[in-house]
Amino acid sequence: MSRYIVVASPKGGAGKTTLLAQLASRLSTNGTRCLAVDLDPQNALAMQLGSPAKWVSGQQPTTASLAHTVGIVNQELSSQALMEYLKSRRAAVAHLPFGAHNAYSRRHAEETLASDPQALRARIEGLLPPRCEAVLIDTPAGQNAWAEAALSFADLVLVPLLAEPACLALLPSYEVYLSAHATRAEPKHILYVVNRWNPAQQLACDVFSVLCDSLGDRVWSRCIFDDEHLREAFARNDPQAHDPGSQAGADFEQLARFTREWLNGATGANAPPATLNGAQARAS
Amino acid sequence: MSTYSGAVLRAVKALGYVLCGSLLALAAITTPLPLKAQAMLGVLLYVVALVLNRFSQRSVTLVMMSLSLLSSTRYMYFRLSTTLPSFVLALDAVLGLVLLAAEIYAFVMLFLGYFQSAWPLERKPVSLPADLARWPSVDVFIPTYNEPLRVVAPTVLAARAIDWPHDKLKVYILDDGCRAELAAFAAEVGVEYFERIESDHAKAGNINKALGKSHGEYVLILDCDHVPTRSILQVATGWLLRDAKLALIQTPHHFYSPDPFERNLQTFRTQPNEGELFYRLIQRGNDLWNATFFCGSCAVLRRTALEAVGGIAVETVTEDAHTALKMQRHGYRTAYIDVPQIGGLATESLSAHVGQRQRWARGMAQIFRVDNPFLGRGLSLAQRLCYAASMLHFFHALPRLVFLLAPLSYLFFGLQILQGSPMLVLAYSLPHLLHASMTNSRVQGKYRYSFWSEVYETALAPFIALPTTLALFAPKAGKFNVTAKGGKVGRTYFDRSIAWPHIVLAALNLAGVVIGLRRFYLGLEFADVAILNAGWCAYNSLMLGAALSVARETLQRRAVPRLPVRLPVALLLPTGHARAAETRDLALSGARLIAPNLPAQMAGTKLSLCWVDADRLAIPAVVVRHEGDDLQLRFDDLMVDARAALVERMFSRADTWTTWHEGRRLDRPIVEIARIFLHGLRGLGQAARTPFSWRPRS
Repeated sequence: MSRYIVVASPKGGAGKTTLLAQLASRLSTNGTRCLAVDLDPQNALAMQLGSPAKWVSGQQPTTASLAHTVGIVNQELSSQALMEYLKSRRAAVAHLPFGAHNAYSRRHAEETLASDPQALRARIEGLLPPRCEAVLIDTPAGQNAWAEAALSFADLVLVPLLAEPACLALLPSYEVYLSAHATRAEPKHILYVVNRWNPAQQLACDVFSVLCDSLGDRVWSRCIFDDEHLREAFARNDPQAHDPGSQAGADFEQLARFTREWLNGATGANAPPATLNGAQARAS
Repeated sequence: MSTYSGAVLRAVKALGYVLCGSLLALAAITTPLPLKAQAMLGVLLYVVALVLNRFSQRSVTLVMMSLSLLSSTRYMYFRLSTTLPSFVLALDAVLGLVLLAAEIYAFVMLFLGYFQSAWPLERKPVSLPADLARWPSVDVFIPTYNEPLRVVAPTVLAARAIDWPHDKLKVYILDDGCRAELAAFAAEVGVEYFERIESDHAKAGNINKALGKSHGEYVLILDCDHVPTRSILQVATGWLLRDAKLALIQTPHHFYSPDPFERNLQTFRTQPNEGELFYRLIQRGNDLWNATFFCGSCAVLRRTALEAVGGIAVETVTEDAHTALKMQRHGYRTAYIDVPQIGGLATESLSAHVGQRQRWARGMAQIFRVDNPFLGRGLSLAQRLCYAASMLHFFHALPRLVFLLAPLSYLFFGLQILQGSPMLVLAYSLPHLLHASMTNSRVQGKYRYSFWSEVYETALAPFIALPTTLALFAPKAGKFNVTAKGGKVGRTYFDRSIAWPHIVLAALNLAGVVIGLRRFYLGLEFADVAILNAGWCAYNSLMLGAALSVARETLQRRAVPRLPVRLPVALLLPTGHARAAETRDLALSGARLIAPNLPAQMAGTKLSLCWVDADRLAIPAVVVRHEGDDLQLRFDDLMVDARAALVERMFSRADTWTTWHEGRRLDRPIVEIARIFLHGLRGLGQAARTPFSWRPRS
């Protein structure tokens, strides 16, 4: 029985896709069978997983030349075809792109979602690789039909945030949104993760204290540091390169460990264990 | 107090009576034996003891103590009955009595030592009530006089971080020096600050004045360089809540910097230091007999008990032990928990160390005169014996000097201060010495290696002799001198001002060796006596040499506490990279890290050090050295919360010190005596090599 992990965020640029790609990559490396699904029309997940669009210079890119003609938005796709596609791309991580689309196919897909909320789940389950343990789903930022559909059957929701006032301002309405749509996940399985963390900025530290005060245990006690290494690796077209010295890499590794424990059912609540005395209080 | 220690106490008392009875019986059978019989008896008892030593039960330890006391009593009986000089030769008689007095002192200390460590308690911390509202209020007193702020600051920051309800914990800096920067620091970190213009009675007066101005039910007293862990109150206070008559919980003084012996002999962490015998064994032994005494710091006291005895005692310079004595006379109990919960700085030079011991010696002698534990009401016999043991310990100086000079009386002047055949004396004294050595190794071996007591005593004896004797006759004379903390030995040098008595004694003993050997090789009469005395002189010389090797002060590289701590950290580089690293050691002035895969040479780069767990802050740092994966950072001008975060990571973990003593080798007497002899040779060589001129102490 696979579990569904949905990554959603109130604001764009919070690092959803990067987080999901890192998580999927590290879980796969450690032996967990998982499938990463991209519900974001940007098709960013494939880029993060190392299979970008191939541009042939001098030519106008067409839908066909874009590598993601295969995708969830294509109704005719079968599981076998997906596997062959992935093998042909030599993908290290099993992933399902959004797919090539235009305005018509998108609107058609969204109407299907609206009319039949269970359709998306059924679709994904039809495409699962064998013995898949976890499905990680990337969603577009903000409040939209794709996010609502994914949240409806999510077991674990990860919400990356930036420690900045704009994110903080969106939080209350987003919490309401999540509680309305993430009906299957328990409240303690909606986890906020501070991303692009830079404690040298005093404002970031202050925002984090406010987050801790209002969210308590639901914000992960560990933050994912802002690390130039991730962007450089992406630019080198090798985003899955695991540099042992990269702090962000170490943080993602810890997040993967936490997710692994959650999958095994070991910890349901916020791991790692309680922070040092008064740490939450002192953060204020 | 729980029934556990009560039952143990009864059992030990019963056993004690039985042993006493049998000892008395055996003493009656101390018939003198001829040489061969005595030698055989000695060998037999020694073999029995060797076999018994294989078993590790505590009851076997008591039996071995009895055997040792039996041998020693036989020896003393023999000494007293056979070997006293006849009164015809007056000088011989006087010196003979002096030597006898010294040996009687050693015998009494042997007995008292066994008594004190008969059954050391292993008191564990007990839990506090589940309801936080029932936890008591505690005041933390940090008295200071002239110690610099960089020494006091970590203590204050760590005290502030103690795990205790905020409204029930108050930290006070008690400043006898009225320094503005301390007041400013107190205001900045949010602790109370008391200053005292008058400075009568030094630390005792300081604390007493603060007692009048504060209200906590309990008082935790910390020396200004004793940094507490976060759990100290939870470890100590449980017992106080369970026993209304308990006035004091004492915890060990634990030092994370080497004392002069450890630094100059380079035995830090590999060998138990001088304080471990007291804090890890003797106080636990005292605890069984309800004779634990206050050591001036790292203890939680009940305010009502302190007030009942009129505050900290001011009549002597060891106000701490005296206060405990007074509280016990009043009917209060005391207890000891051997869980190190503070980390402090050891004395930084041999002269400072000697100064501290002189104060303790003087104070204990004063208490012996002013408030003698054998006299007066309120103490049980066991308590009197334990206090007496601790006080009499400081009178070791004169007997030690007697032992260092005794063989010379024959070798230089031909005086016979001991009558009888040397072989017979040997046959009686060897079992006494060997049993004592084996039993002490068994009882104390984990906390003090064999024969090192002699080294410590020899090193201190010339300096304690005068203060103790003076204090015994004129307790009010002499003034309190504070032990300097936080200094730095600026260079490697041989401290002649501390070493000269040992140099003189060593020279005399070496001369004795030469004279004795000459008599032996020339085949003069009483050559056997000569060779025995020469052997004793050789032993003395090597002990003095070991004491001398401590006088060579080695350069102390750091004046700021630096501790080995392994924590994951993130380094924020100016290029936007965040590198994962692990600390190797931390100090308030900088840190050493291991960081894999760093970009090119980073010396001189400015970066931020961040924790990856709690404490969201970034510490600005500069790379001082970068070699491979090894990085040395320097912190400049830290903010208070950065300093507090560093202090907490260095000192505040509940288990910071609990594994400090692990990984040590066992005590092996033969190895230790050999090592001491090597130190001795080295020390004699060092003393001989330095030019013969008076070098002023820097």
